[in-house]
Amino acid sequence: MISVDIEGKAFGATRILAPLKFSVQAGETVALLGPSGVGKTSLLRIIAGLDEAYTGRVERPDALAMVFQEPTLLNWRSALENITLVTNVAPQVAASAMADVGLAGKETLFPAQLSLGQRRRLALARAFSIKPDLLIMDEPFASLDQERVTEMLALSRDLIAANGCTTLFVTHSQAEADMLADRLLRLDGQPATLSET
Amino acid sequence: MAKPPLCRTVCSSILVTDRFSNTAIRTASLAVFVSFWAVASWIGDDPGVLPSPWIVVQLIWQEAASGELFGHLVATLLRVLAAFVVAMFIGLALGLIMGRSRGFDRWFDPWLVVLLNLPALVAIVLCYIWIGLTEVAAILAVSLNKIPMVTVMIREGARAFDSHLDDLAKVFHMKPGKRLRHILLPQLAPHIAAAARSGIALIWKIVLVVEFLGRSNGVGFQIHLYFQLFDVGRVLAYAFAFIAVMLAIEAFVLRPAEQAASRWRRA
Repeated sequence: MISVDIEGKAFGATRILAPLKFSVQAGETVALLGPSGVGKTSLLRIIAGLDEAYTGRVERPDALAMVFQEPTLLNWRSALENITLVTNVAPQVAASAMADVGLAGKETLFPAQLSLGQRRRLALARAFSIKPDLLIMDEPFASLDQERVTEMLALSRDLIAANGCTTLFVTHSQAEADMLADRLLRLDGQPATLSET
Repeated sequence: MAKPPLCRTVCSSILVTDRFSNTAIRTASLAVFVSFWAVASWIGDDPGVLPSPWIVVQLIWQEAASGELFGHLVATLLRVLAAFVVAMFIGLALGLIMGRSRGFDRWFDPWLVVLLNLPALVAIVLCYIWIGLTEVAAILAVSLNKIPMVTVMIREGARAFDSHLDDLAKVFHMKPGKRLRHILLPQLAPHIAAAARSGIALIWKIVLVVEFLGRSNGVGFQIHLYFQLFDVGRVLAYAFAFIAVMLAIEAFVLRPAEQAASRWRRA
């Protein structure tokens, strides 16, 4: 499903990532762990196709969705339009995706009228609305309190199970990784190397 | 979270009170200005140099009743609109490209600096010499004066774009047209509004100079005519009539458009 074989990644003279090679099977949920600043997001951006300045090879499906560290919403568009305009899905599909994350009835609200937890749910609904083959999540529960994190983890686990998508999930929390992932990968050192845990 | 009805009622009554007091202050300020003018005219006691506000109002009425005023206002307004559309369109495109592409910005920034410092009068005279005393030359001269300013304002906005939204558009394969309409232009909206409001004010003043120098109709042409006749009253009549038109455009077109574009901020 995903095959990553990169020779390294550097920003100027600083090498961030050492040669890395791993693959993720279809339907598998893999957590990528590691301390802050080690290069997790850099690796994720390469896998998502957002960073093309690297040497190596990445194979990924076209139907890809991403949940970013911040909700990353269009503040000037309604909640429903944040899904339809970005993903091109029909309004009924977007409304159904919103209902799946507990945002039914909030379709016409602007993001600023939603709480942080609701904005994160909206970002999740946007990702799942396209029924992705590959879901990439980059610390999607940052800045939420523990109760909300637990709720969001349970919700994400249910949606991933219902959708059957392959998931790559970045976190620096072992507890989050244990709850959501089938397999854990750890990124450590400088330049960072990958190890299975 | 939606605001409860009590808060909404209180907030809207505060807004109404604010708007009322704002209007009252503006009206009082204008009244003071007109009073100063009236007193200065009374002290000077020479309507040929400074006619009173009432005389100017009478002259506006006379020019309007004769049909002269309307024709010249429309001619100037059409030039303002044409130059405004050309300047905003080209300035928006250039500003967007320069704000997004460092290479393009490096190449064209010196051109921008030169054009920003080119006196309006030079651009007008050169356009008239090179193209002739035509409508195209007039509108091009005005647009050339405004394009660099719009470009700079839009470039600053484009430099401050949220890069996360670019990532979002790339991951979800948003088409360029959709990206422009739903991601880039909404982020530029405050800069476009500022460029439009400052632009329209600058453009109409330059249009008057263009008409003064080389057109046979319009408010600038009439001001030139009455300047030669030393008719200060009619110079003021045409100037204030056009100021009224521009204030109406500001109040009934630009401000509502700006408010509609920023509706989400007040949600």
